[in-house]
Order: sequence, then structure tokens, then C-alpha cells
Amino acid sequence: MSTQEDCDLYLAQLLAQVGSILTGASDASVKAQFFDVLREFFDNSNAWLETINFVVVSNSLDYPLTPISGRILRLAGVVDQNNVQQNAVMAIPGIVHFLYPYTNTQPMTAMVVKNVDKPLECFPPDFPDWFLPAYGLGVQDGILGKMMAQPGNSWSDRATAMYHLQRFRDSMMHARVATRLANKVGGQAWAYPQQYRTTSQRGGVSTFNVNPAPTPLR
Amino acid sequence: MPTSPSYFGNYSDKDQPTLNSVVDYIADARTLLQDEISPYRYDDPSLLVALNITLLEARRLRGDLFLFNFKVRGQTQAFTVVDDTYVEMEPQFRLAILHGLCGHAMERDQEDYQDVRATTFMAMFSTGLIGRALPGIAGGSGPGGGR
Repeated sequence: MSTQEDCDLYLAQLLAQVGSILTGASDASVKAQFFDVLREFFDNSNAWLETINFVVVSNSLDYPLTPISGRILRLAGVVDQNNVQQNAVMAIPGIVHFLYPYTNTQPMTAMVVKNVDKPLECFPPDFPDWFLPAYGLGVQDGILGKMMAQPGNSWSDRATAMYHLQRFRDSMMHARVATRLANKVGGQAWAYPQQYRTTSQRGGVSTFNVNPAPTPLR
Repeated sequence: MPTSPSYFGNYSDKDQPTLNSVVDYIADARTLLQDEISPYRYDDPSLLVALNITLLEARRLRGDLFLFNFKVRGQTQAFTVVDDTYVEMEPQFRLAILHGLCGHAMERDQEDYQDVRATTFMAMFSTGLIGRALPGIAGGSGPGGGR
């Protein structure tokens, strides 16, 4: 896990690189573009996840979740205390909705996909400290591509913009796959997605779950 | 022993001392305008108007420069007094603002000689902001250049 100081260094290096290439561009426009690139990256890759614990009570289907930082985009999954996948959706971002009511009170764990929040309020916005060391080059390509695609400026360069935007898309897709595989080389996610559920009733025998309680991926 | 502050601080915004406040802009404009001895040819109110109008023009040409201006929520600043009020402008664009200030101040002069300088200052202003010069003020001919 990178430290905040490491992240600051990566950010400083990224902004310096971008500033040296985009002659005449303002810091403000680069910062605004940085936010938009993060927003598009997290939206397309689902790379920023957070596990949130909450308690389910009887006869209540909706549970609003509050992340530590950022904004909830969508739901990756909900498991109970036995790590068993639950039938839940998130029709309204931030609110877990169970398809069936529960009869007893019990803890649940939701994993949510998040995105950056509060543009223009602070710089840099809140995002995971592992992100820039891992995907900083993709973010750099995103900023350069979007800035160069702007018409009529001293930094406009449509041909090079296409090159950077292609690399940006590649980076997003790489992050999307890595997230789906829980960052394991050649592996598969160990929890949450429906196809990897840990119990079954094959053969007519219900196999109870023996796994420990889920721990955050990040 | 060095006395200047370290440049490893946050010199990207208001900590950058060069052309930091209103009085800095007015003082340096007087240097460029060769108007440093009282009574001034360009008095303080006229230079303040020039600064305010230059900022409005900068807002038109480069709205992104005012994007993170939290104090005034992206609006353009306006000044009524020559004092040490901070002018919210990224350091790399402050010279362009200064040139615009001088150019606007000189626009009122009718001599052809001043037209050339005003045109030059306005060209440096627009070039500094958008990378190319806007059209000249009055043809830009110098003394005798119109003959």
C-alpha cells in the first residue's frame, strides 16, 4: 500500500509532466481535467471499491449506505455474516434494496463501487492512495488526450490526442479486468460476484458456508 | 548568507511573491509605462480601471483561469483601491495581465508612437493568454511610419 507521501509525489510528477507538454494550459484547467479523468476512469473500471458494514432489521428492504469518502456509483454485492451472497440491488445509488425481507436482525456487508466527488471543492479530490502509483500513466494519458482534443488552443493536437485517448481507454480496461480478477494474475475474484457464490445445493444437500467473514479487498 | 525564501514551498499560487497584489501590478505597470515620478501621467484610478478591464478580458479569453477562484466562486475580481489585495491569478499568466494593463492604459493616448506600444502590449497580453496576438489597435504604425 502506498503512503500519502508517495501518492503526492506521483501527483506532483503527473502534473509536472502534463504541464510541460501542454504549453500555455493553466493549472486550473489541468486540475479540472484531472477530476473528469478520474471520474471517467472509476466509472468505467469499477476500480475503487469500499466495503461497508450495516445491520439488517426485520421487514425493512432499503438501507442507505454512507462511504468514507467519494460517491457511491453502484453495488458490487452484498453478503451476510456467513459470506453468502444476498439478493440485493441498488436502483438508487447509495441505497441497498433487498429483494426479500428478513425476519431477524443480522449484520451484512456491502461492497460498493465508488467515484470521486465534490469537484472544485478541493484539490486533489479524495481517491485511493494506491491509485496513482498503479494507474497514473493512464490518468496522464487521459488528461493529455482530453486537453489536446480541445480546439483552437496552443496545446491542441488532434492526432496526438487520439493516441493518448486510446492509451487512456486501454488503461481503463486494464483496471476493469484487474478489478474483476481482484488483482490476482490469472485468478478470479474470491467473493461477491454471483457466479462465484460459495454455497450450492447440488445433489440436494445444502452446503453451509465455512469461510470466514469477508475482509476488504482494499 | 542567502536571504531569499526557499522555492520548495507552495509557489504555485498566492505564496508566489512576484506580481502578487494590486499594488505590485500598479507599481510594475508604472515602470513599463515610464511613469514613476509624481504627478503621474496615469493616475491610480485609471490604472485600476485598466487592471479590472484586463481581468475581464482575461475571463473572456481564458475562463479556465478563474475556475478554482473559490473566494469569489469563479467570478472576475474587481478592485477599487491600490493596496495589497491579492489578485487571484496563476503565476505563469501574471505577466500577460501586466501587459494587458499597460496596453489598456496606453490606448487612451492618441500619439501614433503610443499606438505602437499599446498594440505591442496588447499583443503580448493576448499571446500570453491564448498563444496568438489579437488585431492591432490602430494599424500599429510608428512615428513617420504612415508616410
